[in-house]
Amino acid sequence: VEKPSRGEAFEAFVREHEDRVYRTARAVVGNDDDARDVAQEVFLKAWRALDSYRGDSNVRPWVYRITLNAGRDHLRKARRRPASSAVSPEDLPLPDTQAGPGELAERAEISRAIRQAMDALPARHRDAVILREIEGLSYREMSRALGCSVGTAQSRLFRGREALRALLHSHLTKGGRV
Amino acid sequence: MNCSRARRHLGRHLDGESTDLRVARRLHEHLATCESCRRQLDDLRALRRLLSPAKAVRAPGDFAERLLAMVPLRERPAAWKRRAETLAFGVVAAAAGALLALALRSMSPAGFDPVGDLLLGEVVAYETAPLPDLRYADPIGVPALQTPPVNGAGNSSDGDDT
Repeated sequence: VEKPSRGEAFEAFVREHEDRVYRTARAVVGNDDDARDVAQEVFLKAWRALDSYRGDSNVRPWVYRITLNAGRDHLRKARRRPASSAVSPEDLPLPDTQAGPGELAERAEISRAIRQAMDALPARHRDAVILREIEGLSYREMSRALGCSVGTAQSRLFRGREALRALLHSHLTKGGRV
Repeated sequence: MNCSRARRHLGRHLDGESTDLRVARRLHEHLATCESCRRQLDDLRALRRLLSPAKAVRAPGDFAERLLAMVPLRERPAAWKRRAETLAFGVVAAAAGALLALALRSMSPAGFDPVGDLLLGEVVAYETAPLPDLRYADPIGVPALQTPPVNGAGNSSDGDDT
């Protein structure tokens, strides 16, 4: 079997990880434009590192790690610029054609509150919450992605959740509970 | 199990990462009797639901295409690789040249210098060559007014001008 070219290997890599990288980047930076920039940066880094990539099945933690770091760097730079308070549709709960204007406004408010709460978290706690709650990683996978022990990853997740629980308390009792 | 300890284990329980059955059983016993911890577990579930829309996010449809257009997928070898290849070729060529010179030297009689002899031959040939007849030389490219005499033919004109 002929070995895939560097270009073919990269294309396969992009197709496999684009949603994962974009979603994680978006959870960190909070909007589509910045998420696209961060995701592109992540893949261009991966392109440069592709020679050392040997199709390792453990590449996922590495992908998450460089995405979280790139997102963090992007936020750091963005904070030096005027902030945008735009809410993207993806932040909102899943579409509901029955929703009236009042409900839509409430969802937008929840979305904004989540964004503000996520931004208020220390980056390492936010990263743990994203990896577990949005990406669904196991504690062991989280520890690899975060570059720490399983116990530390678990502790960061605990603190992140506690902080979000406090910051979003009113929304948890209203909208989050079924 | 007290509330403080129970709350440390709620997350593990929610995430399905509880491996210690004894701890899990104690947590269940505690939750059965503690409304405050039950409420906290409900909060964690509610938080998960609030964050769940973010799970549905996908890369834009044109993301991969635009990204792949930014990198040279059929690129030539990397610059460092090309430089290394050039350097390796240079080293091999230099080594081959040195070996050839050594081989020629070892095959020649003592004091024989093939390159020097070639140059000396050129000088000798130049010094012993007959000098040209400057009367008919054309130092600046102007045609000679007087052509060199040819035996038995003082004027080569065959009468075309007349």
